[in-house]
Amino acid sequence: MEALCNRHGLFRLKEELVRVPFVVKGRLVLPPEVSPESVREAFSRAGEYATLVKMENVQVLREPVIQRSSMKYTGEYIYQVMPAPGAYELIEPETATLADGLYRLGVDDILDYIESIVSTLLENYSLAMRVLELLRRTSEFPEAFLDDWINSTASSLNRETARQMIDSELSFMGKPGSQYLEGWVEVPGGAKSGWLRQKAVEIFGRNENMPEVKRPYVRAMPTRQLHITAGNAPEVPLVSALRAVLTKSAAVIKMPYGATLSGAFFAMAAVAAAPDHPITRHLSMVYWQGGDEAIEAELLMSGAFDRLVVWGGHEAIASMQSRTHFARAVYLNPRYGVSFIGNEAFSASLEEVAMRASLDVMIHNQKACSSSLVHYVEGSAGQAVRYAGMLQEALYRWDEEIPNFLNPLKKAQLKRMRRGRYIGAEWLVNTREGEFSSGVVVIQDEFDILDHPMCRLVVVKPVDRLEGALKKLNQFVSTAGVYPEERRLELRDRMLSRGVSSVLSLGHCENLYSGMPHDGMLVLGHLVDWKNS
Amino acid sequence: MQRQENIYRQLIKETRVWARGRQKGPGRASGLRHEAILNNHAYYMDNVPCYRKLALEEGLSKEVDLSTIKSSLMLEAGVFKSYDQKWLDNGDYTRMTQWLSDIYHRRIHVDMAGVAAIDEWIDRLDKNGIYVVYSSGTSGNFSFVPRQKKNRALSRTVNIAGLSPQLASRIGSGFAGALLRMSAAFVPPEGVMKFATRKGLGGYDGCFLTFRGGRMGNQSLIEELAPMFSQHYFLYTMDITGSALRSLRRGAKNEVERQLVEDLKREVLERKEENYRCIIENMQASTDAGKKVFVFGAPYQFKELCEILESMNRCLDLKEGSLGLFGGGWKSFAGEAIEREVLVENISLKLGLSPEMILEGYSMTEINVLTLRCSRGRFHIPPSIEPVLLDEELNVKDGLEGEGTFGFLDALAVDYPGFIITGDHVKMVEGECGCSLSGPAVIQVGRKAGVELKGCGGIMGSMGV
Repeated sequence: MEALCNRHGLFRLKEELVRVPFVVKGRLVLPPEVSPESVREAFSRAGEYATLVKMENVQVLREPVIQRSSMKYTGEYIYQVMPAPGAYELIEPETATLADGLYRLGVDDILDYIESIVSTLLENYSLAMRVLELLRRTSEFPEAFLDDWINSTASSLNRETARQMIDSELSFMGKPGSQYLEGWVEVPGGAKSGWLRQKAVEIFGRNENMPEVKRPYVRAMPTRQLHITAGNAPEVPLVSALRAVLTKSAAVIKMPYGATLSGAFFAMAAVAAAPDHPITRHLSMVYWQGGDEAIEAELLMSGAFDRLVVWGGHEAIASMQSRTHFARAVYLNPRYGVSFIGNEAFSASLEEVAMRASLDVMIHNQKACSSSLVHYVEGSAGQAVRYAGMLQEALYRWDEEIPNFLNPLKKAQLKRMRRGRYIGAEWLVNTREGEFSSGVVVIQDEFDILDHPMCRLVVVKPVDRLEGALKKLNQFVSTAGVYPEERRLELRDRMLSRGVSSVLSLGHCENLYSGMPHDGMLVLGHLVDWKNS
Repeated sequence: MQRQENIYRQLIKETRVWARGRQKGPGRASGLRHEAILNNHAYYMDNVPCYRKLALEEGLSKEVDLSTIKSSLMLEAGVFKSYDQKWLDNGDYTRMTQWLSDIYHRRIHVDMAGVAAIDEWIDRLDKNGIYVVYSSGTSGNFSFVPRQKKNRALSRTVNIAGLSPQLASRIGSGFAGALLRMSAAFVPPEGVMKFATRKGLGGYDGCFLTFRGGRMGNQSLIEELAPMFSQHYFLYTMDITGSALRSLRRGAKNEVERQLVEDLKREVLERKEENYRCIIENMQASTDAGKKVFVFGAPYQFKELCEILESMNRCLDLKEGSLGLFGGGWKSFAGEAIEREVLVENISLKLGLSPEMILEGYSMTEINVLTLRCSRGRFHIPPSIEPVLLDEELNVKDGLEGEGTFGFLDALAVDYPGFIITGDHVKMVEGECGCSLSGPAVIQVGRKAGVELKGCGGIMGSMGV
């Protein structure tokens, strides 16, 4: 893999350019050669806010370089030079070929495949470090999160966890999911004869040609999947790709801005590990700019895919929904986390409660759907400010250990909030070199969650009773961390009934396990077609 | 305040000089404007609580320079909706009034007993000398901008000083043209205003593609403009109320609100075609009577007018000298973007107006001036406004060339903090223009990503079409 990269000059920074390959149906697609001058000139024509330019057969993404010591932009850019495949190259029109090949794979074939990719990744550790180094230059995630991401991906992706996902998420009638993915499984209990058969006996009389009640069988049939992924966490495209692999499905994964390097690296590992494997031959990992009608119009045409998986913000989801009226889709909507702090916190160690709450804030640097953005604090306005002070202190300690990065849009949003709609609120802000690094804002009036910048800012809202805050919960809240435990158990079902997916102990919201429900769904179960025979 | 009033008088004169294309370079106006802005800063510090809070948090006193105001004391337009929505939901207008006091230069002590709706609240404030205009975005959260009546007249005067020379060059002959030329050259704008209001713009009928009355954005401007025409007519013969608009977006909470929404929908959706046909006949009648027509509306309303004319297979041939003026967002009713060139071409074809008689205005509720797009495609910013171009972080950019978020320091804003960061992403240029005006100008306007659509186009687009 490393030799291949070196031969084609991939994932290597040269005169501000990085050549990034795509995988299209298992074929490694290399970007054409372009000169740094032509790229810079194209961006200068496109304007200062452009992040992408299209040139002949090539698309170039521009990402600003971040200096890790200061966590500020250096003023330089890295240009990712990528191929520009057409939509027609991505679609799988021949379902019969899939049925005779990819769909016939056994579960062990899938697990072997995953193992071979993980081995390839580990064998190419220095290359992985090279990609990580490139990510470090432009990723908005603090370094510690990136390091953890590499380690946790390697350790959590293995044969056992993969099987657990399949067995859990495709489980049916008490049988593990791997059986249904492997092939036809007899339904326990059998089927009942229908009314028509009984009537037919009355009309035609019983004879040997009368259809007998057959044993029913069910299988989880793979599908053709289009995954539109989001960039709020670098592993999102990998999680989506993994789901496609685990359902042995033909898939196109659209990588998001900000996670093209990690996605392309994974795709290349698949090609290097098992170039002729049916899964690789039906896997595409590519990038195009979201909303590009030239490509999306064809991909979203009825019949091009069996499943659409969309991760993203409100606009991305709404746009997809408006263009795919009858598609079978899994929408992983924008959601957020909250914390419920019972008044008991004020008779316990408030500092400890704030520390626990800060863990839930820091999940993916407050960018994941489970990251806590709003804390409902049971108590007076004064108590809420006291809690906010403690939380500010806890966040300060995180800032010291893991310096935060805020892109210009986040800084602007904070400014808009402080000098605009939330000017009357109480702001407790930690700064680094005079700039925001984290903070807590106590807002007594209405808060619009769409205003939240998701950059280590916690909105604290005092409430008379936690029960009163239940009405603030809805389907857009993914996770709630509650303190103390007795109140969690007391409120849990009422919180869940309002649309929340997980109600966990305060400080435990980052905990995951294989096969866990995601956004109220066992996602693999939605990605396969449940077939009867 | 005596000095400030004197500055304003001089700024008005300078605006007139600038509007006639006689001012090259910054001239006296920038010095006057800067002095007025610094005076306003000190005044806000004493009198506007929300501004004082920000200044104190920033560790600033009355003694600051202009660049400090730009970097640290510009408020974001959301400050005009920094109230709790539940106060409106619950009809707590005493609390709303307290909030309004926070963004106003006087404490408001008005008894709100018996006030049950936004429009009643606005009327009650109006009776006490506070003129409140609101604008609404797609969220249905209203921005309220309070002005003292006296200062409203000041902004009207500056607008006449700035706009009349630009309009005179297009209108040409007739009473209205003469009036505007007079204003541009000799008569003080205050006098022109009185004269025009008394005598009317003879020869013109006013056609307003909007509601008869209301306090939403453009609507308040229409209330002032309409009486100046010997005859005027509206697309919708009802008033647009704040309660109806808010209920439309946020849901009606009682029978009265449900009825308001129903009435509004009936007028705007069910009777849409009938209303347009009626106003088309009015325009035809004006033309038959030898009158010119001044047509005013949002881009999507002009678009609808053209579509209905098309469906009728009909073109109007408005009398030479007729004018079209649109502004208020480039979104159509259903939220689709409208291309300017296509729209102008359509209006020209369907109403018989030459393209130079189709004007476009750019303004917002929080600013005291209306700018017109000149023949070279620029919205020239008059001398009473200090424009500020901000980068992605909302830091002040050097110079006024290029793209960024539009901000301004409005020297005329006395009653409320007039140092504002808007949600508009603009492209700006500076220098002399082929149209004879000079100075900074906006050449392109769009909304910042993630900032809600504002204005008539945004809110009306929510009406279920």
